[in-house]
Amino acid sequence: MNLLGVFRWIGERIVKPFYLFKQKAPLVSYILNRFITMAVMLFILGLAVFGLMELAPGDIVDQIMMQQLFSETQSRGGSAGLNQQAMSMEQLEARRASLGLDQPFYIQYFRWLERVVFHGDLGQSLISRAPVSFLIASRLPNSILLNLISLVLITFFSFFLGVYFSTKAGTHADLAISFFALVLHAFPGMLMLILLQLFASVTGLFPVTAYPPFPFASNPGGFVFSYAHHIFLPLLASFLGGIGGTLRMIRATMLDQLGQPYIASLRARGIGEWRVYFNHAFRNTLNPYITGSANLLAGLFSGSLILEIIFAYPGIGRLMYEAVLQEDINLVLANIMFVSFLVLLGMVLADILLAVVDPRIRYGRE
Amino acid sequence: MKKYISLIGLLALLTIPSCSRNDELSLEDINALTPAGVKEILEKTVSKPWRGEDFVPGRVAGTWNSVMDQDPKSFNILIAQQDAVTAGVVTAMQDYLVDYDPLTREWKPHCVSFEIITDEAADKLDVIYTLRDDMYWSYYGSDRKIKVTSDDVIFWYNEIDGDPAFQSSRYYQQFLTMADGSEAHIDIEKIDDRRFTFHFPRIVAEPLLATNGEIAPRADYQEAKRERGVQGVMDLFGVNTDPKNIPSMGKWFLTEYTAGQRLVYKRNPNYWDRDTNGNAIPYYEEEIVRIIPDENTQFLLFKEGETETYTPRPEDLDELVNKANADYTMYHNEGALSASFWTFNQNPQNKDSPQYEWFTKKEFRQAMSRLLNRDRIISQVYRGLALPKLSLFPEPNRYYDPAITLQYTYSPEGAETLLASIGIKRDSAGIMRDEKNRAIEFNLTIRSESTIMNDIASIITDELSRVGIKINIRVLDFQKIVEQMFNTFDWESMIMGLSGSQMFPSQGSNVWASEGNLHMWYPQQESPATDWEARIDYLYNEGAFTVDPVQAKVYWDEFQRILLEQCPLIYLVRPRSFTALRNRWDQSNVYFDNLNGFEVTHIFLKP
Repeated sequence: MNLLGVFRWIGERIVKPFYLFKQKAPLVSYILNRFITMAVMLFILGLAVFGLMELAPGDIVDQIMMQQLFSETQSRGGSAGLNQQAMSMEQLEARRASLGLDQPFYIQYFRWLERVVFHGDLGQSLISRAPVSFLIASRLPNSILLNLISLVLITFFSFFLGVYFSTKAGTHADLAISFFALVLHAFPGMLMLILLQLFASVTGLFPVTAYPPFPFASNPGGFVFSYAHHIFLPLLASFLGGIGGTLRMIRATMLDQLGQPYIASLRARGIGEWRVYFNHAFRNTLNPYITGSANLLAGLFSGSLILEIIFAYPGIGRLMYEAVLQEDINLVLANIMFVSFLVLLGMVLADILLAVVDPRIRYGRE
Repeated sequence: MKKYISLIGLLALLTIPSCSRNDELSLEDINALTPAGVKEILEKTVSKPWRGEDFVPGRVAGTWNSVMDQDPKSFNILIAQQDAVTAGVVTAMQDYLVDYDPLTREWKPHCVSFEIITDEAADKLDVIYTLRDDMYWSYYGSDRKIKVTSDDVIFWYNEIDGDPAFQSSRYYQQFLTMADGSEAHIDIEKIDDRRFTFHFPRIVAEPLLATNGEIAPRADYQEAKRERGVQGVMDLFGVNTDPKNIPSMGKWFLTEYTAGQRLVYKRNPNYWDRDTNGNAIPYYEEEIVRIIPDENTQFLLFKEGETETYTPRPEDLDELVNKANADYTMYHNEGALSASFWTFNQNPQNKDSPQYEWFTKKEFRQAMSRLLNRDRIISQVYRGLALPKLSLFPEPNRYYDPAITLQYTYSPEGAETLLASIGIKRDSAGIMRDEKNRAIEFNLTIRSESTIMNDIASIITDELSRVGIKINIRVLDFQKIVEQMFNTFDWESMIMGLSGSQMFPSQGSNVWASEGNLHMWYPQQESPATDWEARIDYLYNEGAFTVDPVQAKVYWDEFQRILLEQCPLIYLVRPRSFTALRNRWDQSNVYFDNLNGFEVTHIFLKP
C-alpha cells in the first residue's frame, strides 16, 4: 500500500467513522475527545517530569552514597571498618543499572509507562522497595477526606455568603465582608496555619497536630470524635484560605448577573425576587464556579502540603515532598500523575456538568 | 458594629499570640550579657555525665512517648544501611557484638566476649568471638524462640555483606590493604554454634572496630535469598509487612506502623540485658513514636507534655530553661566532639583561577585560620554555649594529646604577616591584593538549611573585610553542594559538617587519605598531590597497622601536627547540647555527656 493508500485507509477506517459518530452523539464524542486529550497531556507531563528529574543534580544513588559518606559511625558499639570508602564507583554504577537509572530519561519513562499501562503496576519506591501503590494507598484516603471536607465547606459557605451579600451590595455589611474576603484571599496560608497552631498551643483548646494519636481500628468511635477535634483548626485554615477567593467570585458573578437586562425583564414581568435570585441569577453563577472547582480541588491537594507538614497530617503531600527530595522517581511520577489526572478529570467533569446546568452549552449543536 | 468588633476580636485573638518577641539586641548588649547568660543557663540546667556508675534497679511500667521526623523506608536491615531513619527503627530489634567505652578507652563485651590472638611472626591476627548463651530471636505474641548462633553472624558476613551482588556498604570493609599494596580479605570461620573467628591477613591496631556489627536473623534472609535471590532479600520486611512478623533479638518488638502517623514498640521480655532483679531493660512497657515532620510542632508537643524528651534548638532554650514550675529537668553536656569546618578548594581542575593559586598555599590557609574569630562566633551565634575546636582528635581518642593543638588561632595581625609572606598585601585603599595586583576575593558556600551557618558566614565575611578581603556568601541547597563537591568541583570555599568524631584515630580514612572520596579539597587523587598528603597517607597506614601504643603514638602525633599545620580543614566550634526530660521519670539512671550522649536505657517511671 502506498502513502496515498495509507491516508485513504485512515480516512475511511478512522476519521470518517469518528466524524459520523461525532454527528450522532456529539456529547459522547466530546467526552471521548477530552479523555483522549487527557491521556496525551498526561503522557507529555510524565515525559516532562522525567526530563526535569534528569536535569536536577544527582539521583537517588547519589543520595544513598551521600548518606553513607556523611554518616561515619561514632558511637560506642558502632562499627567502622578500616576501609571507609563506602560505595565504590563500580558499586554505584551497578546500583544505577539495577534501578535502570543508567538509561536515558525517555527510555526510563517508556519502561515505566509500559509497566503501568500493560501490567497495572506503579512499581516500587527506589529506596524502600515498597510498592508505590501501597505507599499512596496508605495516605490517599486521608488526603481525600481532608480535601473533600474543605471543598464542601468552602463551596457551601461561599455560595451562601456570596449570594447573601450580593443582595446587600453597597451596605456596610457588604463592605465589611468584601474587605475580609480580600484579606483572607491575600493572607499567606502558611502564616494562617502557624497562627492557628499557636492559638491551639496557647489556649489549649485544640491539639497542635491534625490527626488522632491512635489508629481508627483501636477505637473507631473515639477516633471519629478525636479526628473532628484534631482536624478543626487545619480545616479552618484551609477553609479561611479558600473561601475568600470563591466568595468574591460568587458575589461578583451574582452582581454581574443581577445587572443584566434579562433580570430587569424578569422583575418587570413580576417574577418574585426569590425566583429571580435562585432560578435565574444564581444558576448562572454556577458556570464559573464549576470551571474553577476542578482547579480548586487540585489546589487543595497541592496546597495541603504545608498543612500536612505543620500539623503532622498523614496525607499524600508529605509523601510526595520526601520523594522529590530523595529523587525517588517512581514515587514522584505516580504522585504527580495522580494529581494531574485529578485536575484533568475534574476539568472534563466540569465541562460535562456545564453542559448539564447551562442550557446555552450543548456540544455539537451550534 | 458589634459584628465588626467580633470579627476584629477574632482576628486579634489569632494574631496576638504570635506577636510577642524579644527586642533586638546590639552586639555590645550581646557581649555584655553573654557571660552572665551562660552562667545562668548552666546553673539552671543539670550536668550529669556518666562516669561508669552502676544503674539502680527500676520497675517495669509506663509508656515512653517520642517523635521522629520521617517515616521509615523499610524494616529491612540491608535497606537500613542506606537510610539513617530506617536504621534507627531497625536497630531497636537488633543488637551489636562489642561495646567501646570512651571513658576508659577500652573495648568491652556486649553480645559477645572476645579474644585477640596475634601471631607476630606470621604477621597475622585472629579475633575469636563467643556469643552469649541467652540470646534469642523471638516473635511478638508468640512463644516461638530461636537461639542466636554463629551462623547468624557468618551468614550475614559472607552471604550478604560479602556478596557484591547486594552492593552493601560494608563489602569493602572486609578487605585490608597489605604491605605490598594488594588487597586481602578478612575471613570468618565457624568454630561452633557460639564461637567464630575473624582471620585477619595482617596485624591491625583495631580489629574489633573492623569486625563489630549487627546480628541479623539468618532464617528469614536465607530463605528469601534461596527463593528469590537478591530481589527476595531486598524486598523482605518492607513497610507493607505486618511488623509483628519481624523477629527481634533486641530490646523491642515493633508491633505497629501506621504510615505518616506512628510506630509502636513493645518491650521484649526475652532481651538478655537484665538488672540485678532479673528484669530485662528497658523498663517501660511500650514506646509510641509519632511521626512529626515539623520541629516547631515537636516543640509544641513537648510543651504540652505529650513527649518525654526534647532537644531544644538555640531559639527554644531560653523559654525551656526559664519556665517556672517546669515538669521537666534540663540537662546540658560539654561541647560536641566534632565540629563544622571551613575548607578551600585545591582541585587542579580550577588551576587557572587566582583562588587556586591562593588556596594551595599553606600560608594562605593558615592566615584564614588566623582570621577565624571563634570567640565571636561562640559569643554571637551560640550565646557563649560552645567551645572552640582546636585539636584534631577529641579527648576520648587514645591518641589525643592536649599539647598538640592549632597554632593559627585568631590574630588579624598574624594573618597579615602570613599573607605578606606570600606577597599578599593591602593597597592604599585597604584592599588586600596578591603579587599580580588581583584583589583577594572568593566565594564561601554554605547550606541553605542552616540559619546558624548563615550567621557564622556573616561573621567570617565581616572579619575578613576588616583586613581588605572580600567574601561572597553563596547559599546553596545541600544536593547542589554535594554535586559541586563530587562532580563539578566548581566551588571555592565552603563550610561543611561531617558526622563522626574520630574517637578512633583510624576513622576518617575517606577524609584524610589522599584517595578518599571525602578528601574534599581534592578528592580521589591518583597519587598524593603534595608531600604532606603523601606523608599523611603513610602515617595513617602505619598508625592503623601498629599495635604497640608507644610506636603508634609517634605516628598519630605527627599525623595530627601536620593536619593542624596545613589547615586543609579549619574547624570552627563545638556547641554544647541540651535536652529536657519529663520529671515523671526517675532520674537516677539518667546521664548526659558528649561521650555517650543521652543515657536513658535504664530509665524507669517514678512510683
